[in-house]
Formats: sequence, C-alpha cells, structure tokens
Amino acid sequence: MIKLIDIEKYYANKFVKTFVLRNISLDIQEGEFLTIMGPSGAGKSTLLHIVGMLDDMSSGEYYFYDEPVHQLKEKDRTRLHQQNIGFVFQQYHLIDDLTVYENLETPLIYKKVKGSERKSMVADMLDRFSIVAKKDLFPNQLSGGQQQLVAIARALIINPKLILADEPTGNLNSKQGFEIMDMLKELNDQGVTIVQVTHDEKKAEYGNRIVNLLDGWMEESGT
Amino acid sequence: MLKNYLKFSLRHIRRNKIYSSINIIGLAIGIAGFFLIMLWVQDELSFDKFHENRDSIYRVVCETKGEPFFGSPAPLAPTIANELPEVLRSTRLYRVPRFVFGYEEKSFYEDNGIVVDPAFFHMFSFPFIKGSLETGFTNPDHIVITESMAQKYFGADDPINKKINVEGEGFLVVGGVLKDIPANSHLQFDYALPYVFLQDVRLCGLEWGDFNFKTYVQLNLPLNQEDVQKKITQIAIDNDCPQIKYDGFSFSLQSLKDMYLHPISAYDIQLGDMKYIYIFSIVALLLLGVACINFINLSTARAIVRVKEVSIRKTVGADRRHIIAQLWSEFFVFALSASVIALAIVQVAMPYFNQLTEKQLALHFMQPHMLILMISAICCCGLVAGLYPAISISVFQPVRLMQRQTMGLNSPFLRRLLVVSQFALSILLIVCTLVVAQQMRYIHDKSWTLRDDVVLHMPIKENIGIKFDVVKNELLLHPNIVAVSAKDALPTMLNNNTTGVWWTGKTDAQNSLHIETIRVSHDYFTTMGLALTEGRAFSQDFSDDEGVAYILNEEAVRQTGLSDPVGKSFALYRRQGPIIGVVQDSYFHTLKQPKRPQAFYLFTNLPREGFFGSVFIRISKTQSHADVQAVISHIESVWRGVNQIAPFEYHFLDQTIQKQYQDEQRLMFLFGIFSAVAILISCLGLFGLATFMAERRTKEIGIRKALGSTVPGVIMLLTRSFATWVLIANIIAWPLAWFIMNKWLQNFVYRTEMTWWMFVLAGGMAFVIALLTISWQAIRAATANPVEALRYE
Repeated sequence: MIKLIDIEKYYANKFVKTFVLRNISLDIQEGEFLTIMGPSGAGKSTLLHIVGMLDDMSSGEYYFYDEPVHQLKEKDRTRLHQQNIGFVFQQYHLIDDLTVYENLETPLIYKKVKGSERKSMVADMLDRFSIVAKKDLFPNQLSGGQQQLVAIARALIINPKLILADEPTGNLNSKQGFEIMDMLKELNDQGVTIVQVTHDEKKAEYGNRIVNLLDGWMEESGT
Repeated sequence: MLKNYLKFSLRHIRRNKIYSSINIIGLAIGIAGFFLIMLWVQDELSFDKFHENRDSIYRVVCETKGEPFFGSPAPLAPTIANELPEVLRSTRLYRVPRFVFGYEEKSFYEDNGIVVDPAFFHMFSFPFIKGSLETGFTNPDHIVITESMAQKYFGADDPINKKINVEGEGFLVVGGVLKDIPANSHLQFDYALPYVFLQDVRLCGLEWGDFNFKTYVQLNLPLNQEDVQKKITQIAIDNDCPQIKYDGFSFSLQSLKDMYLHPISAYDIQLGDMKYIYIFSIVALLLLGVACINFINLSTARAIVRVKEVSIRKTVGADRRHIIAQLWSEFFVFALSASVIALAIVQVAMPYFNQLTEKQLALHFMQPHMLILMISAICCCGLVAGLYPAISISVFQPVRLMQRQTMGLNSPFLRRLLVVSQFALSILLIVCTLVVAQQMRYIHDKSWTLRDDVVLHMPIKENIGIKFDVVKNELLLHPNIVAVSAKDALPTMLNNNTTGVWWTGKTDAQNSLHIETIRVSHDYFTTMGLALTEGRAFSQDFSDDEGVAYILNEEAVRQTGLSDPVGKSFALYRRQGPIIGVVQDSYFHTLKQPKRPQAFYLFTNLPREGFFGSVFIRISKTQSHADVQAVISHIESVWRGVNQIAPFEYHFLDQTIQKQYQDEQRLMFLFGIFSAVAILISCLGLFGLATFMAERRTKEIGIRKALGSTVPGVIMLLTRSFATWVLIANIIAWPLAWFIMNKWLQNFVYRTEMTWWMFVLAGGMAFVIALLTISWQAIRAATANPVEALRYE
C-alpha cells in the first residue's frame, strides 16, 4: 500500500544541513497496524507527516498505491489524501469555532459530498460513537477523551483506508487511553490500515509491527 | 459550501468581537468618508449636465493681453447669429443690479436677476411651468420668475399677469413661471427680464464698445472652434468694436461643460474648481486606502491565530482554494457589514455634511452610478484588502501546526511597511492641515487692515444717493460714527478696469496696463482707514477736485513708473487732471490676485454713478456690543427717514471681505475633518495591532519579567518599535508634504511661509497619538502576572 524508498528530510540553513530523517525505506501493507517508536526528536512525527502528505520530503521516493507522491502536484496530493487518509492527533485538533456536528461534517464538505448524504453520514458516525447528545457542543465543552473520540470519528467519516495517529492517547488518562486504543484495534480488525506514533511500550503492543527511530535512522524490530 | 462559509464567517466575527469591531468600524468609517466625498465630487461634476444642448453651448470669452474676461458688447450676440451659419442661436446675458421689488405689502431685495434674449430659453433647459415664452417674454415690462420667487410674493395665487413694483418707480408684469433652477447650474437666477427691457431702461451701455454682457452661443456641430472664434473676432472688427480693433483683444469660446470647473479668472461667476475635485478625490481614495491597510494589517497579524484552524482544515482535506474561499468570504462579510454601517453613517452625517458644503446632497441608492460605486467600493475592500491576507494565510503547511511553531508566517516587513505608510499619510495630512490653517489666518490678518475698527456698509438704494449729503450729516450726528463716505461698488469687486488712462511720461509699452478706476466721495480714505503716503486727500476746500483730481495707490505709482507723482498730470478717458495724492495699497480684493493699480477720483453725480455703490460708515473703536447695536439703530432710523420702500440692510465690511474666501475656508475645513478621520482610522488599526502584538508577546514579556525586567522596561520594549516606525514615517512624509503644500501655496499671490515647526509639530502629534494608542495595551501587558503568561506554554 505504501512504499517509501530512501526518504531523507533535512533543514538547510546557510552552512549546515540538519537531518531529521535519514535513508528511510519502509513498506506498509494494507491491513497492517504499524507502530513507530522512538525518543523525542527522533523524527517519528516527521515521518508520519510525510506519510500523511502533510510535509514534503527532501529526497527519496514515496508510492501510495503505486502513485508517485513525490512527483504529484499539490492538488492531486490533496485529492489522494482527502480520499484515503484520516488523522488523529495528541492534541485532538478540533476546530474550536465549530460544533461537534460541524467538525465531523468538514471533511465531507471538502470531499464535495452532497448535503443530504452528509447528514446521514454524520448521523451514523454520531450514533456509532454514542455522541449524538453532544453534537451541538463546542470542543471546549467536552472532556479530553470525548474530544479525542470526536477527532477519531472525524478521521473515520471519510471512510479512510489509512489512519495516522500521532500519540493519540498522549493527553488522556490511562483508562481513556486504553479505550481509544481498543477502538483503533477494532478498526484495524475491520481492515483499516493504521500507523501510530508512540513512546509508550504498552500502546505499542497493540500494533503488529514496530519500527524504531533514533536520530532519524530507522531500525525495525520484530512483530 | 457558500452557506457554510458564511455561517462560519459570522460565527468567527461574533467570537472575536474586539478584532472584528475594530476591523469593521475602521473600514466603515473609511467607506463612509469615501462615499460622502464621492457624493460631493459627483455633484460638482454634474454641473450644467442637465441642459439638453450642453454639448453645443459655448460662452464667448474676451482674450486680453492680461487675464481673459467674460464680457462682450450687446450687439455681438444678434450679429453673429445673423451672419455666421455656424451659430444656431445666441443670447446675451446681463446681471441686473440689486432692485427692490414689491407686491402689495411685501417688499424684498432681489439680487439675482438676469436680462436675456428669448433664445436663452431655447438654448438652456429651464422649462416654463406657467405662462410661455411667446406670450410672457416679449414686452419691456415682462418678467419671468422662478417657482420659489412666485411663492414668496404671491403665495398660492396665480402669479401670471400680476404686477411687481420696482423701486416704487414702475411695474413689471409676470409673464411666466420657471421651474426652480437646479442647484447644479452655474447660471443661477430668480427672475429674468427680456433684452427689450434694457432698451427702455438703460442700465448700461449697449454699444460695441461696452463690454457689459456675457454672450452664449449654441453652435452647429461638428464645429471648427478656431475658425468660429476667428470669425467672431472679425465681425467685431468689422463693426468697429474699439477694444478688438485697437487694443488687440480677441474673442474665444469656452464650452458649457468647462464653465463651472474651469473658471477663466478669479472674477468669474462660478464656484467650482477642478483642483478641489482632484484634491478631494485623492483624499477619498486615501481614506479608503488607510482603511484597507488596517484591514490587511489586522488580518495578517491575526493570521497566526488562524494557523491552527487552517492547518486542521488542510489535514482533513481542504486545499488552498477552499481556504482562500473561506477567508475571502469572511473578509467579504466584513466589507459588507462595514458598508452597511457606512451607509448608516452617511445617512446620519448627511445633514451636517450638507451644511458644511452648502449643497443638497442625498444618497440615492437606486441611481445606477451610485449602486456601481457602492458595489465597487465593497468589492474593492473585500477583494483587494482580503487578497493578501487570504493568500498569505492559505499557504501554511499544516505541518507547522504539528511542529508547534508559532513563527510569524507573514512577512513582518510588509506589515511594517503598511504601518509606516499609514503614519506617513497621517503626518502628511496633519502638515497639510496646519499649512492650510496658517495660510487662512495669514489671509485673514492681511486682508483686514482695519483690525480694531468697525466699518459698516449699506447699499445706495432708493433715495440714499439723491439725499447723500443729508444722510451723511444725519449719520454723523451719532457720537460713535466717525466717518461716512461712498464708493461706486464694494471694494471687493472689480467695478471698472481700464486701459483708457494716460499719465505724464506714459510709454507705448504701457498701453496694455489696466488700472482699476474707482469713484469715491469725500472722506473715503479716512473711512476705510487708508493712509495717504504723499500729497493730500480729496477735500471740499478744493472745489476743483471734483471729477478731475486723481489719487493713485502705491501699486499704480510703481507700475506707471511715475516718480514724484504729486502734481503730475493723469487722465482717465481723456479727462485730464492733477495727481493730488498717493494712498497706501489696500487688501480688499481676494489675495489670490496680485495687487492692482488703482486710481481714485470723485463722484460728479453720485445718484447716477453710485447706483450700484455703497455707503461706508466707520464706527469709533472700543465699542461694546450694545453700542454697536445703538449705532445700527441710528443708521436704520436715518435710512427710514429717507426711504419708503427699500428694506433696511447693512453689512460688516470685514465679513464682506472674508466672504471671498468662504469657499476656500469651507473646503479646507472639510479637508481638516477628513484628515482627522483618516488619522482616527489609522489609530484604530494601530490599536488593534498593538493589542495583538502585546498578546503575541505575552510569553516573551512573562520571561523577561521572570528574569527581573521592570514594568517601565517592558513598556519601553513594546513602544520602541512603534517609535522607530513613526520616525521613518516622518522622514517619508516631510518632503512629500513640503512639495505638495508648496504647490498649493502657489495659488496665492500672498502666501505664508512653511516653517519647520509645522513639520515637527505634525511628527510630534503622530508620535503622541501612536504612543497613546499603544500605551494602554503596553501597560496592560507589562503589569500582567508573568506566571499567567507562562502557564500555558
């Protein structure tokens, strides 16, 4: 599904290149639950952003379902990402000005889904996550766990083939954390590919493959 | 999609009240100012456009060796209409002097009458609503009046065939009523008399040598203007018109379309001036520009706050166009709400604005050009001002958010540039306002040479001229009246300007020298407070003075080149006499003109020669208001003693003189107001920016305070950058202001100097205004608890 070949990422200033990622080559199969681990500053998030097409790589090749992402124009990349990828962040990243309902609806608007269809899709999602009662609340009226639930619902609403989760439980207490992890696992069982970044061993175990990053270099450890 | 954009925009505005209201109010004030000025400009440009024949009507202008004037002789109009196939119609126009009209018990002064040929009403679109040209404008005693004038005299009665009493000496019969003359007509009159009236009552010379008329012609189009001008001049020569034949004058044509805004001389009848159209259009655009700059500044500054939202939207699938569309719709909502508020401001301000401009402007929403103007203003603000922020915000890579970079995305350089240009504009406007005010004061001081005295004047009406000696003696009975005299016209008017003068030693090169000739009665110089520098004034002790003794002003002495003029011979229209004195120059004429050489001589027949003149009454100094009132009552009783019909009226000379500058003063007052508005808008923007900067630097301030910085230190930190901007703005604005105002001052022959303190004051004002605006925010930020600031980072 995803093929990364010799990905490098660096920031160049006048005299020195500061490397964030070095020689990353990685295959991710459809249906996998991959965990990226490593200490702070290892480049985990950067890798995830590159996979999610939010960030550009400095060099290397990236194929998404055989489409050469590194050669695509922004418009095509947006389309690819719009239709296939859902994001979940540590800080939830809901839009403060929008209600729960509107937050869920936003990706569909950008995907140009028709109004009536949008309504039923949002209603389904609210139902599925048992947050119907909260649909008119704003994010700051929800607890952290509830916000993350909404964020996951938002990621799922476009029916993505891939979910990228950047420390999804980092801001939650442990009970909420495991609930969210269970949910990701469940989604994985339903066939959604998941890539998560974490430095929590326990959370890493939910995945079926772990990639370790250290100072931008990758080493793969068992399944 | 659009519905969503609008919904979120409105919500965003609601949730960011301070930012939104600063943005909207600033923009609204700018747009309102723009609309008001544009209404004024549009009205000025609309002058004389309502005439159906506006493209083919021309005015005959007389080109002299000096400045051109608009006089022409009476026979010119009919002659050229008869002889030139190019001339379709022609009319002459004569301004009737002030008459007292009466009907039954009512009597009024009528200032505003004209004598014209019947063709006038074919050429110009002044429609009759009662009576007709054929039946009511043929006899010498016919008069055509406007609706308002009819209302004034006859109320609801039918005015047709009513008889109006003229000065108690005769009657005019109302033959027609005209629709009121539109305010945007350069020709303004309350009544019109047919030319045949003048043949009966010779108010002025009607020969080829008497340039007492304006001539308007309607020409067959297309035309060769040069050619027609030559032909008209030739006709005048063929008819022995002396000024054309001997003095080398010629006739030219000026289109009706140019008459109002392109006056041919300071003594022209018009009120408009293209120069002010330009100045105010620029001010209008500046206002709009300043408001847009605010908008751009605040929006881009706020962009940092929007990073998160924009990034999230991008991660859930938005591309740049979505973001731009969303931001734009938001800015559009801003511009739209601002426009609605602006229209409300315009409505509220309109009566005051009309009072200031002496116009009857109104906002007509449904006029197509107003609609276009409004829509384009909204689009211009929404699109242009929104374009840069929208684009600059939309380019964020969402990854910025993930990396938690709070770096300033947008170029602070641009923002600085905008703020500096705003300040430069403000300083420029302040300097301009100061220079203008200074010049106005200069003119006021200079033109009023009788500073501590009071001089009143009243018209020579009814029996005042015939019984002038009685009137003078009775006036002088009052202890506070120190001198009384008469002159053939108000000293602000150019009554007679002629080359028909001769003096000892006149050279051929001086043949084109115009001298203003002025008839006065005894004691004129005493009354007006003018000192004689040489010789003596007119005196009853010298019976030879009357009609043949001359007094020149200093300028006349200078221009004629006479040395030791007293005793030399001088002649006006071949009537020779000695120069008995030299009087100091006076500043009664508008100071936009250079000093005129003047020759004074005595009335020989005051009732006739002083028909358009005035009596001047000098009141002794240090008068209380009650004393002045008592003097006026005395003057009124003297007036009533000799006059039966003419209503009493008097004026203060200083007010009459200042009236010459009233247009300028009014326009400059407006200019001052709009400058203040522009500065206010700039301050709003600065305030918003300061608020935002303080917010943004909360963390920095917190750290600095934690490290031991004092409150004044932090305030310094926040104000220092603004101070630098103001300094740079000064450097830009000063030379620009100097250049512009230097140009403006060239309009005045007498002008004030621009001094350094004006520039320093303007810069200082801008600095203080900026400091006051930001200090509130700076102090608030500086005194905040540093722990609060650091907690969330």
